[in-house]
Amino acid sequence: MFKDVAFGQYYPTNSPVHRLDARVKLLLTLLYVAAIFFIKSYFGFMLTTAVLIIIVALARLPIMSVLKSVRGVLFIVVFTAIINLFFIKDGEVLVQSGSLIITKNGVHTTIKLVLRLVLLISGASLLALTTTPVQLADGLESLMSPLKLIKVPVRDIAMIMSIALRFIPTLFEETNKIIAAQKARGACFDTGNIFARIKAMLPVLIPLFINSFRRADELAFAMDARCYNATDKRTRFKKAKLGWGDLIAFVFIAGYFTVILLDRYYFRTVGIDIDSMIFGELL
Amino acid sequence: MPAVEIKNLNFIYSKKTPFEKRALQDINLTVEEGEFLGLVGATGSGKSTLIQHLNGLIKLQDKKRSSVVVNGMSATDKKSLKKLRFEVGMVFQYPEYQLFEDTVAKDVAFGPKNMKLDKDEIDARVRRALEVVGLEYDKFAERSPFDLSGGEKRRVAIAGVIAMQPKVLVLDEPVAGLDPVGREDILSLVKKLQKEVSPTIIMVSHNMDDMARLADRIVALKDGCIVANGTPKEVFCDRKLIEDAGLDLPAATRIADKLIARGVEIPSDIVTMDALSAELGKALRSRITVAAKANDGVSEEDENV
Repeated sequence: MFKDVAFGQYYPTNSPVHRLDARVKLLLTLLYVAAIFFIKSYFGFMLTTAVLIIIVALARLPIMSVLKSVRGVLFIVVFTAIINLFFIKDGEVLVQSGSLIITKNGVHTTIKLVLRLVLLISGASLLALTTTPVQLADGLESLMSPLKLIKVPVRDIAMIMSIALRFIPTLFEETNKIIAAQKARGACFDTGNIFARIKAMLPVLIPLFINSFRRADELAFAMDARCYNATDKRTRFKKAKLGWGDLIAFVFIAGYFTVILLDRYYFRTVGIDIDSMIFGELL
Repeated sequence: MPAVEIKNLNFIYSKKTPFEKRALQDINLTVEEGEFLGLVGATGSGKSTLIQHLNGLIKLQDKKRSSVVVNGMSATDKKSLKKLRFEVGMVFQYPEYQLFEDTVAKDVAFGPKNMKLDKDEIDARVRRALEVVGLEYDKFAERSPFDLSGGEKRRVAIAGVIAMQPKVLVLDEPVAGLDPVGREDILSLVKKLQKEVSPTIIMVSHNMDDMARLADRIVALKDGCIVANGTPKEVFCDRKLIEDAGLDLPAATRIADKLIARGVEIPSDIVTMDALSAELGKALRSRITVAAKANDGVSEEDENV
């Protein structure tokens, strides 16, 4: 039960995608997200979907694990879709009843918006699904290291991040234990109004805080005892190295990005309209 | 009527994910009223999962096939769930980490308050619970639980559970992390609790000496299955089983084994220090008699000559 939270969304399958360097994955995810905002044509969305399916297949993830992350934002997707569908009033009218007008333009915008959001979320979730939180923190630290030049304490930030990530499962486990213990003494957390519920959480929160401070103290001692010093130059136990897989992944996503840019800025100027080539009269 | 009756209990963590783990497998277990049951098994063998089923903290996964009944109450019955929780006192590992109130008396009163008892009854129960665990009410009631020593905190936590006067008391490693004196204190307290508050005790422990001494019956778990179920003598005399289950022998049994190997004539089913010293005394006395007889024989011969 708590394993779901303990490892974030991480879904271990030891695929080539999982083995990619976290830094590369971070950058490529950014590139992917940027690409999505350049898409204007249905061809672009189809291409993106294909790219996404290829990555999911390579990562050996069940498609449900990706869609699960979409479910989290389903409300926003549906809400914006409805707003767009009814409030875009220019273009050819398709349906009209009273003051409700649905236009062709509105339908197109809505479909594209939904596709954009779904592809964005599922693409970003791939990063979390194939990279452990610790790898992510290390990757971020490495990517942020140029900021050291302007005296940003990158190492401290990274250490804080790793410690926080490290203790999420511990805290979660402990919360469960305390909840179980207080439930065993007849505590009830799911009845009464909001104030009653907040008050009912006190027997959980107080021990949790006290134990956290105790643990923080112990951790500080333990780090001190091993001469931790964030300012000194520190070496790494696991050094991330770029491999061939990283290069291939980069070429793949960069190629995809280029096609999206071409589709947006070039193809139409030379008279190629892939959308009408595929869908013809449908649009 | 047995105090606890578990039938065909199965439990799988993180079902249908890569983290899936089978914690319990076809557990059938009955605990009679008045019994002291020792639950042993290596880390991850399913002990904690099992005991949390007893008061409905973990829900049954297969309600059709399996059942957990405590004093006639089903753990699946939502209506009697609260009553069940008051019937089964649960002392978790390191219970002192669950203290939260600003005074000892208030913390001990948490359980009885949730039982919706009236104020006088709550006060009486708090007084009695503190007394039973050996903390003087007038001295401790108004102190903050966070200022107490480790052993005292644990007593307060135990008092918080027995203030509900449960019929069945479940203790998960109640002596973990205590010094030798604290351990003895808590163990004799558990025995006392069985006499005065909760007749049925289920105790989880890794210490086989304690188990051999206290438990009427020992149940050993391994990978979610019951691999042994019998009196301490029965369980600890099956050396192969003990090894398979990844368990220890009590110190007394280990000493007895070594002594037998060296030719001391004592029985091989010794599990407690008391039994060991008694048997050793017997063996020693018989040796002295034999030696004395031999001596007598020698002196008689001397006289004859």
